[in-house]
Amino acid sequence: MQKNKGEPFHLIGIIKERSGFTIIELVCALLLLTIFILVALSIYLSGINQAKVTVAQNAVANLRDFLNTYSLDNDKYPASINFTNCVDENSRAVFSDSFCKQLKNDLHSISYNYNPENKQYVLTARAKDNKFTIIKVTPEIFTK
Amino acid sequence: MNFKTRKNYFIERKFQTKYVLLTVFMLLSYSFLFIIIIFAPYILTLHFNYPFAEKADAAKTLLLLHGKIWPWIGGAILFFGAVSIFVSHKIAGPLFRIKKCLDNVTQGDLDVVIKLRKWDDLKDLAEHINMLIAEIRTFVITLRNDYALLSEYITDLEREIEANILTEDSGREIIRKVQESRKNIETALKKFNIQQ
Repeated sequence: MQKNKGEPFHLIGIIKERSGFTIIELVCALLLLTIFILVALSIYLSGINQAKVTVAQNAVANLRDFLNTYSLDNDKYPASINFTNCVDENSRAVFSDSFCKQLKNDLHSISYNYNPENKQYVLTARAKDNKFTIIKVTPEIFTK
Repeated sequence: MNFKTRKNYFIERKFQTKYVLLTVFMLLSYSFLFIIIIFAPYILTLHFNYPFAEKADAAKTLLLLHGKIWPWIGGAILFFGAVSIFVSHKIAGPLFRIKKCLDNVTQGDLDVVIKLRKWDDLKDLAEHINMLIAEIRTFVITLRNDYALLSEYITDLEREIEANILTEDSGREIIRKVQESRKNIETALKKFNIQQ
């Protein structure tokens, strides 16, 4: 901004009198704009990643509820689950078709391990965020 | 000038590019604000201590919007960017035509008339320029006629002097006619205010 010595600085006067910008003003404005956009973008992308993890956690929590219902109905947890069509070792449906589709949408991958000795299972799922956050679930513990 | 076959919608490249870039820049700015307003509540819900059910709902909505809103925003920017070419053409087309006509006027063609299409803008400006060209044409015609008359009087005067038949009366008559022509030129010149 070019200004004579001793002349008071009046913003409105500058806006009224001058219609152009110096290269320094332009660079500063563009720099600020870029910083603002980058900060907003990083907040947005971290929000999306957080949302993917939350959605995965929610899906796994629902999955645990389904497994608990299955256990109440059958007095045991399924020995294995085929997540392609969501059936157990006896080809019986463990969850509904819609939930099966939702799992595929919400999770990057999922594995189910059943331990017949202590009759407990361990569900390991990966969220769809950029770190593929691992979510582990047992009948008692839910960890991220 | 081929008036009916003007089909190039990108006729004034510099002007229209500036207009399109301005439109896209404005759309990007509005989209940016729109995105902040739409997404901020959900992102805040995810980052602060809300019940898990609320967070899960916010996350689902956020991902749903994330998947659907970008193609729409991209499409809207492309659409309005393309529309801005047509809108700017409504001004750029007449500007192009006015420029061409003024080029012809500069080269001495005073018979040009700016004709704009029904939906074109700047019709008022074109009308004013047509009036200006008509004024200049009238001025030039006056000058040309008076120039012809003056040339005729000079020829008469020369002939009479050579033939030695110039009388006081005929001399005064020629002077009167010359002064009349001068008056005409003076009146025509009075319209133009030139400061030297």
